Amino acid sequence: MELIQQPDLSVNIAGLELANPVLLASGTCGYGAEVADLVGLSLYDSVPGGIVVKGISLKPRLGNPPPRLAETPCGLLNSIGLENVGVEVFLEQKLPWLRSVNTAVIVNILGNSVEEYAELASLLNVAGVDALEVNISCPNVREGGVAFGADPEMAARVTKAVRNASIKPVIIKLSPNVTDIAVIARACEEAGADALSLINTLLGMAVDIKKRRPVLANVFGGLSGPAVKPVALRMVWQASRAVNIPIIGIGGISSWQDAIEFFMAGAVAVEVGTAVMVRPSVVQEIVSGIGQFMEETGAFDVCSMRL
Amino acid sequence: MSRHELECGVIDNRAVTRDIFLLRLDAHELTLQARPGQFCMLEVGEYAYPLLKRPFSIHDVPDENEIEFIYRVAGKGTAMLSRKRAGDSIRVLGPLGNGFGWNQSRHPVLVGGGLGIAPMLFLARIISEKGLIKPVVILGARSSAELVSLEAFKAIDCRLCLATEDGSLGQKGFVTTLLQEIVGDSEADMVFSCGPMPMLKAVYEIAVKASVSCEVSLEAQMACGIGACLGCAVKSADRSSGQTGYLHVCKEGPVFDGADVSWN
Repeated sequence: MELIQQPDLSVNIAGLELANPVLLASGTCGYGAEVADLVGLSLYDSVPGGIVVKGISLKPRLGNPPPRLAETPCGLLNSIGLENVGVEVFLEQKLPWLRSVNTAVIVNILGNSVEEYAELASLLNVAGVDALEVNISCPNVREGGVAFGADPEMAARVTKAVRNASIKPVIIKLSPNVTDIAVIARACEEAGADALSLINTLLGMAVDIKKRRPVLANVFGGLSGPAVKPVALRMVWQASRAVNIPIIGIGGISSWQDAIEFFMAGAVAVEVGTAVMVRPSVVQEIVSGIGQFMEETGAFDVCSMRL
Repeated sequence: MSRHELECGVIDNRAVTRDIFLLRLDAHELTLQARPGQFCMLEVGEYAYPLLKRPFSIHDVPDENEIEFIYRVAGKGTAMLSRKRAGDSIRVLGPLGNGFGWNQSRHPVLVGGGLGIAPMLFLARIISEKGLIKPVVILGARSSAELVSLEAFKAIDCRLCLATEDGSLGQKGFVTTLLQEIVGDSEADMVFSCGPMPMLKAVYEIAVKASVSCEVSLEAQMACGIGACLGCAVKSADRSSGQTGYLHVCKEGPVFDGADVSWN
């Protein structure tokens, strides 16, 4: 009898155990409950390997004035401005539900200062939080966000502060709006990051020619969707060759084929965002498609697909 | 949960004016759940362009198998939607949003302007058939041609009042003139309205003056339709703290108490 090796979809990222390498990207799935029935988050077998919840700050944030969205060819500009309930409400009202769901919970955090990042990290040293994703790359807020992600020294300081304050695996989410992604990636690795996730959105804008003004009230927004996928792939390739820590690929992934491209480029897991908003059932399609591809090509695990 | 993501067959999709279309879908799974004032997200493109589904309020659920939408061809997405034919299928996410609180009213007045007529047919039907109440239905449009689904409204037991800007049917002018008269000399206890923002503001102000509560259905650009992305924010009325926050049209709405909306 021939022994058929089943492909192993599970991934371990610095102690963060994922049943499969497909995560819901921060900002596109709320705090989980909003999308649960449509993407298959449940008590038993959840479809996604994990969920990265909406970016959390120390205090609640109202977000940016509307309009906050502009659709562009194969893409979406957003300037939500990190509207969120704040860490206190998150811990009291959102985390209990997340704890009940059988999937990895990764909390995206965002601060206005290095100290705020560290404080958030220590407040989140609680059961039910499986890892932190540190947002140093949001293009839509004045302080914090990308201000930390564009400067290797600042990126390293935030990384070090969170690493010291947290008992969880620390993933640093990088911005594509930088001159050299490899430099930032190395700075985060040296400062103690357990993993990197990239890319956050690309800074962009749209103009309403009838109203003669920018579409977004905030003028600029972050571009996501299939339009950014080639840029994201290139940066995952560069970052994965610059560091020895695991890379989570993000950017326009809308099919299992897209996910495989990211694994081949050097990612060990992917986050799916805009595509889930467009078609929630795509998560199941991507997870199944990856498994089938691995089986057909004899890939033993996700990492073995790297070129 | 009562919402679904599924492929629905197109029964019919035809122009009722030069640029307004009536879309009928075979959607048994949705009809039993749908409430007046709710909406569905419809996929209009093939792959990625246009990227986002479009939100359309439910126009009618004439029977347990069929759900109807009306839309104006205004851009690339709606142009693609208008080319769907009987036998094609459309991916639908719905029903979404909260819907009108019609069962709190004994003497409801419905006000639909322009494509804001859309949710009023389903609302009038449910109030009449389920609530056993004869609602007042005020509809307005630019011309008689744009008073869509008039025959369907006439088939419902309601008091129908019409206004057109060009005077081609009903009273010449706006729905607000008719509303003013009706709330003045009737037992009206609630107004339910959908239409352009300036109209909704005027409707709300008339209702406030008459001490009648008013629910409005708002529109916003949406990405997810389910409260995940927070893209469809509109300003809320000033709170006691003096700080203005945001309402999210897809999840907390699309129907809001007029008092909760910032009208400036």
